[in-house]
Order: sequence, then structure tokens, then C-alpha cells
Amino acid sequence: MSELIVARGLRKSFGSTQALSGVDFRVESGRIVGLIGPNGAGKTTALKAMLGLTRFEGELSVLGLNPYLQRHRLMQDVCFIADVAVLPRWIRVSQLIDFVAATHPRFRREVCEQFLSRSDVRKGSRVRELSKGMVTQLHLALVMAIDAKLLVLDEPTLGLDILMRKQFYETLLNEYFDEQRTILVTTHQVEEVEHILTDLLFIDRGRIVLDAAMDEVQEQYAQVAVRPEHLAAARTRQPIAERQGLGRTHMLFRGVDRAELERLGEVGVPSVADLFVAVIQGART
Amino acid sequence: MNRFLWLVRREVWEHKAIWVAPAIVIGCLVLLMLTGNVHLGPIGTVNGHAVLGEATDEIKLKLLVIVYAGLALVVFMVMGIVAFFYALDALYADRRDRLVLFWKSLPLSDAETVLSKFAVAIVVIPLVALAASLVAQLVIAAGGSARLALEGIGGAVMWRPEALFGGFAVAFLWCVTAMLWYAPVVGYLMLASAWAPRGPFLWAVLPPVGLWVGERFVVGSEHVGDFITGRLFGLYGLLGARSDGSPGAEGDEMAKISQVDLVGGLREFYASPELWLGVVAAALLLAGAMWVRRYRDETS
Repeated sequence: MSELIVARGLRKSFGSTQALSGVDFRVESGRIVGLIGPNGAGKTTALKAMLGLTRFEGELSVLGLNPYLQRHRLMQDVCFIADVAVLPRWIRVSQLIDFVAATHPRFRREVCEQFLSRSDVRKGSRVRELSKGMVTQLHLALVMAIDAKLLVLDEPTLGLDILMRKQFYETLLNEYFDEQRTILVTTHQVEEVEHILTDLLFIDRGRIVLDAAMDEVQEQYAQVAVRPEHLAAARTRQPIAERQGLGRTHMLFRGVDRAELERLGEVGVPSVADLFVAVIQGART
Repeated sequence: MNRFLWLVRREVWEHKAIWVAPAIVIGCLVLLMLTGNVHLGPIGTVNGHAVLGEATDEIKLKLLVIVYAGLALVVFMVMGIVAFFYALDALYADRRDRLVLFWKSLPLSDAETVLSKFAVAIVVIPLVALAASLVAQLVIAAGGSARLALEGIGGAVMWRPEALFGGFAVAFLWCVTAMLWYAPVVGYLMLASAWAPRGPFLWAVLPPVGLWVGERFVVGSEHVGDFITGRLFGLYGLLGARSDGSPGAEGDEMAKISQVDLVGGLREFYASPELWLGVVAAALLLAGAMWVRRYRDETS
């Protein structure tokens, strides 16, 4: 599998604050990677660096290019949606499609029009006349019609209602994603994406605190609803997190033998959100 | 290249003033003609003579060239203001509301984006101005000749190609000269527009005005002020319709008119280093705007 993104010692600071303090990671092609972190963790900075929107120190190559110096070439194979779906308010939908079709060699107009025909967006409208959800749909239609190798989505469903969000991720998975494409997504609505992710990348305070494939995570981490009588025994196994819920104490373990855990209570797969909280808290203490 | 034309087209879609402003100027002119408010003034009389009725053909044509070129000048001034605000807004509007994140998601380089905006200010707007001045000439020719005919004086002279083309040729030369002369001003405004965290007008205007006032009060000299006014208004010295300086011209308006040379100053002007240094400065300022656009991504 080829490496699409390689970062080594990636740094970026704003004045005295370090947004990224020497980060290393790789993203391989054909994956759906969730870049997850609390606000101010360096997520946006990392994305911006990958998309050539900001200068950085250290090494970073995306599709073998330096994103900052070769952004316009990179954008032939990468497309992205920044966290708020912002499109020029003065433009007509038809003008926007014409413009993207004329300037982007990999834009497939018929795909875009097919997506739009399923939405309420009319081609004669100006963007300023559309609702926020419709602007997002238009933006998604434009981006999904680009035959790109890497798609970067930064909070793509912000402002969409639950129905549209669900529909968006279904479309993304069923009609867009294939072995040749890679998707990098950040979102606060972790539970919406966890079933489509193949890889997790947790970032906190400018550092990568977890970098693992989803199946590795499921092998390594386990959540146990511990029976009250086994509480003390469970704690000797050094759970990385513990919380109370519905009369049971839930503990998150890493690298503990499964058979052993089953004696303590019911074993389940931790949700990405629980894992995230545990890993971040662990990294901070 | 086709892509570049699309970039230019996008600017014209967004900045409607580029075609609305000249349309308004021409609309006003038509309205003035229709309501009969245009007094043919200098066309009609010089020293009490009804020139177009009585003067020689040479004088009539010369006067018409002056009127047509003067009309173009009015259109140019309006379009100059349009170009000023366009250049000031272009790269700022590009960043407003984080919009730049969308433009930058397309495979378009910062250099071609900045160049397309420069081309709009320095080529498209002047071309629109020239076209509008030609239309304005035709409006005046139509209205003027109709009016002269009503007064019993033959108005056909207003349609003479020597007058129409003569006026247009002068306008064209002025226009090209202004493009070169104002290129560094456009470059400066675009750099300010690319950089300004907000309110590009103040960011563009305050530094030079501050330097001007500062120099005046601290040092007591006016070098900055002279430099600024020279660049902004220096071109108008050329318009001062030059006579060829023969002494007989004194007092005789008719003779003065025949000696007016609307483009006489241009040759000297093109030989001056100021013009060409300005063009070099424009290139540097544009390179600066490209460099700033690369990392400047939001307005605050």
C-alpha cells in the first residue's frame, strides 16, 4: 500500500504557542482516517499544513508534493471542505459549476448534477438565496464530483440536520469511497463516523496521542462492565479509564487478556468517544 | 490560458460595478441629451462666434476631437474610481468569510489568481472604459447633431470620421498611458488588499497619508506628499492641452484651438524614467501580493 501522507517532525507555532510540536504520522491510501482531537489540539493546523494553506517546519509530503509550495498542483488530486461550508454568496449555482468544471481537470459535471438533482438546490439560484443546509449539499456535490485521490473533510456536516448527515455519510461510503481513494475526516460528532473509519489518529496539545488502525484498536482495547464484586480485582489490572453508569462501573483496559477480562464482567468494544476521553486524559496526566 | 479567462470572468461576475458604472454614465448622458440640458458650450460658440456654423472645417474638427476626448476623460475618471475600489477589494473579498478556503481547494495557483485580478484592474476595466467612451461619443454625436440641425446649422460635421476617430485615438493613447502610469498604484492597492486584516481602505490609505503628514510636521519637507500627488495626479499635466508656443496665439481663441496638441506631451512622458520605474514597482508589488496571498487565509 502506498503512503499518501508522510509527516516527520511536523511543527508549527504561533508566537509562543506550539500548535504542532514535532508530529509524526503516515496515512496510507485506501483508508478512511478520523483525525480527532479537542478544540485547540492542533487538528486544524495539521489539516491546513496538509492542504498547503499554512507554512510549517519539519517534513511533510502529500502525494509526494510539498503542500505549501505546490498547492495548486496538489489540488488536482486532493479536494477538501473546510469546517464551514462557505461558498461565494454572489455566485449562481450554474456559474459555480461552470467555473469549477473549467478550472478543475478532474471535475465530473454529470456526477455533480446527479447529486444536485437529489437535493433542493436549483441551478438558477444564487448561493445567498440558499439555506445553510443547501449550501452544504451544493458544496458536497461539487467536491464529490471531483475524482480525487485524497478527500479531506473538516467538520463536513456542521449545520446539517440528522437526516442529511446520515445521508451524507452513506453517500460518501457507498458512492464515493473505493480502494483508490483516501478520506481524512475531522468531526466532533465522533459517533457518526466511527463505523466508517478504518484508522484513528488522536491529537492533543500538538501531539499525536494515538495512531492505530480500527482493528488494532478493537484487539487492544476493551471495555468491561465490571460486576460490583470484582471491582477491586479489576482495578489491579490498571484500567485506563473508569466511569459509573447504570449501576455498573465501566472500565477501559488496554492490552489485557480477553479471557481474564471476561471473568470481571461483560466485555465490549469501546466507543471511539470513550476511547478518546480515556486516551486524552491518560496522555495529560 | 482558458483557465485564466475563467478567472477573469469570475471577477466580472462578482464585481458588477465594472459594467454597471459605465452603463450609469451613459444612461445619464442619454438622459441629459433627451432633456436638452446639454449646452453645446464651446462647441457652439467661441468669442461669440457660433463656431460650428462659421469656423473653418479645421477648427470645427479640432474642437470636436477635444470634446470627444474630454468626454472620454470623464468616463476614464469614473472607471478610475471603479478600478481603485476594485483593486482594493479584490484580494480582501477573496478572503472574507473564510471564502479563500474554497478558492484554494481548486487547483489554481496564487500567482494566476493575483494576476487575473490585476488583469481586470489594468486591462478589463480600461477596455470597458474605452468601449464606454466610444458609446458616449456616439450619444453626443447623435444628440449634438440633432440639436444643431434644429438650430439650422448643419450637424453632419459631428459624424465626420476625423472627429470621431480623432477623439477615440486620443482617448486610446491616454488610456494606455494611464494603464502604465497607474500600474504601481493598482499593485500597491492589491498588496494592501491581500494583507489587510480588515478594512483594506484604511490599511491602504493611512500609511502613505501618515508618512506625508509626519514628514511635514517633523521634518518640514514634502517629499512624500510630492511623490504621492505626483503619482496620482502627475498624468493630468499631460492633458494641459499644449500649444506649440508660437506668440501669435495670444488672444486669438481660434488660433489657440488650432494649436492645441492633445498628445504632444506623451513622447516626453514615455521617455521619462518615472513611468518605467513605476512599471517595475508594479511588478514587485504584485509579487508581494502573490506572496502574501499564499499564507494569508482569513480576515479577522
